[in-house]
Amino acid sequence: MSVRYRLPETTKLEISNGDWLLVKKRLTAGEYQRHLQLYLTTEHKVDGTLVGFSRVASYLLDWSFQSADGKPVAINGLDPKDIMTHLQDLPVEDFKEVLNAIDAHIEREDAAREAEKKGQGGENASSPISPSLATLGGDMNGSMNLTEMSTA
Amino acid sequence: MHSLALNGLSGAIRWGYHVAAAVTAWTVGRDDAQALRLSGRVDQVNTFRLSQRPLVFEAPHAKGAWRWPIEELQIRDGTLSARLGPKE
Repeated sequence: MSVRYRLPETTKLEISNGDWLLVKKRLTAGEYQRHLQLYLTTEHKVDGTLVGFSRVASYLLDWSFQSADGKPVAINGLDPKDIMTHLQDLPVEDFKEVLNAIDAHIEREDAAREAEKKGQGGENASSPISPSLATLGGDMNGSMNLTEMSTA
Repeated sequence: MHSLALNGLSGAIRWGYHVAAAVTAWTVGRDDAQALRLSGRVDQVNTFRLSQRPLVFEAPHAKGAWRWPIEELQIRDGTLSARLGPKE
């Protein structure tokens, strides 16, 4: 038997200009389901242009970003769908920086999880729910890895 | 309860970053044994998350939020009573 449920932990990611992102360390199955839902159209087709936004919105809990008038842009406690609308108003280069930071975080967590599994006798350990969110296309032009959909 | 108490309309019990229950009409004060006590009404309860530990009571204020660890928790008929640890 093993511990499957984990305390929902957060990590603070430092990015440029002294800004930070507070992100979920790992997604739960429900959060992952929500991530998938956020890039499906009402016809249940994948809108690849939303994959990166959905991924960021699913992980992001808070940030230090300010609006043009210097006031904090509050996202703490918002639904991922609402966080997505905030992300969509960011300049492209700023969104890409956030996306890259979160993708790097996901890669680190996946590597840590793999190392953890190996430490537990690894080869026979069950597969994670997500093969690797970091394998998704991180760009904004619609590319994506359909493996993710097949695991939903 | 002591006469000095904090009151609020909304707050939350959190397990990590997850909301385990929304708390309304809450009061934090000291009981006769000088222990910090939380009382209020709970709403939108997630029973699994409430069963997990550690839990924290979070009360928003103008510049952020106060957080207290929950040391003991009882919920009956939507009414919450908890013993809190020192504010984080």
